[in-house]
Amino acid sequence: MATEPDNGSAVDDDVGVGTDTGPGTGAAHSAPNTEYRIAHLGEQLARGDLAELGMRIEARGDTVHITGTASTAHDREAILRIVAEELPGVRVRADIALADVSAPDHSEELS
Amino acid sequence: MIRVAAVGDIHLGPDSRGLLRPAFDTLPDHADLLLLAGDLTRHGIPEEAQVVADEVAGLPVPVIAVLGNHDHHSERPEDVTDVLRAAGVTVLEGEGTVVDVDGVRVGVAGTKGFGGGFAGRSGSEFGEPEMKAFVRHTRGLADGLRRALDGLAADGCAVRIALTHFSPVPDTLVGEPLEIYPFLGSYLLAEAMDESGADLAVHGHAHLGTEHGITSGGVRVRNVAQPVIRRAFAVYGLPVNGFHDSGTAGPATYGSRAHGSATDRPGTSGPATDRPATGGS
Ligand SMILES: [Fe+2]
Ligand SMILES: [Fe+2]
Repeated sequence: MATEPDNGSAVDDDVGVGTDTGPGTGAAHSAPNTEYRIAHLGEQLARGDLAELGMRIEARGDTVHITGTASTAHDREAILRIVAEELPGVRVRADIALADVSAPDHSEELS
Repeated sequence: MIRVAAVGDIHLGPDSRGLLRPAFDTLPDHADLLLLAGDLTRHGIPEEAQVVADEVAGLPVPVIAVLGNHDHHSERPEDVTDVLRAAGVTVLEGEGTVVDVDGVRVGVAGTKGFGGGFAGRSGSEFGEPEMKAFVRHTRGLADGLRRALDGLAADGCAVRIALTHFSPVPDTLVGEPLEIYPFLGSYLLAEAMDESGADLAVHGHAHLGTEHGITSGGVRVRNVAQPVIRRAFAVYGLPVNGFHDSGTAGPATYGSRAHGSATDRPGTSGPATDRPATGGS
């Protein structure tokens, strides 16, 4: 992914688990904010040592689903650690594949 | 048949040292040249560039690269470029280079490229200075690509390849969220390729995208981001002037491909590229 995240978002980090319940829930401060926390997670992954911008992070019901490819097992663990830090109390399902760095067994012939 | 190996978005750092070298060591069996489609490092620092350099140093095929946005992150693209060049990598930005593959002149024109979006859904050079600068950056790089491709044609290249980091088409972005397409590429790159002509376009950047695409002018586009191709590199066979050489009946002037290896060429310690084909920018 290419989006270089903004810095300095001013979103209040109230504790709240689950996806947005939509309009009409009243007090803005008590509204669940998983959406913003997902955005912050994206920033943390990009800013840190990993410079990881290739993960897809999406809310699916009450679960946050993370998909992508990590270079090494070490990187994958680091990503999961940051996820746990940024989304405490949120159910996370991560499908992070490891990069396959084997030589190809075929080529594509273009005419 | 010219055999082109390509990969982008390898994002190497000190702890991925040596990861790709075993596969790269098999390159002479697979390909005549290796293209690196940007995002070779994580933060664009020389220490990471050195890992990339070590990974490709001394390969018996020419290695040609463009930088990606990650390689610019520390705002030291010149330093990254210097480290790669010291290892024999040809780094292109608005330039072309010519590789001689058994008598066939193969040209590669390269630019990082940039975003802006695709025809009918793109940013314009209008409004705030930041917005104008954004679109101008893309336009300038696309112009450099066009000049480089034209230069390769004037230079008598039988095969021309456009190498970018950002995508020229939306086709190869399928799998990425639609909303971020304008950050992933620009139609200005495809327009340059279609106007100047190219036999293949190779890019990276869209890790969640798709390998295959085509410009509206019919140039085949391949997204070789490493997470997309799921191999150390992809290999594409390109015919020379429409002639398919299966290794048994190549025209004499092109030499035999029967050995299928570039190791019998002289000067195996570095790329066989000669010079930039155009002044470029
Ligand atoms: Fe990348
Ligand atoms: Fe990129």
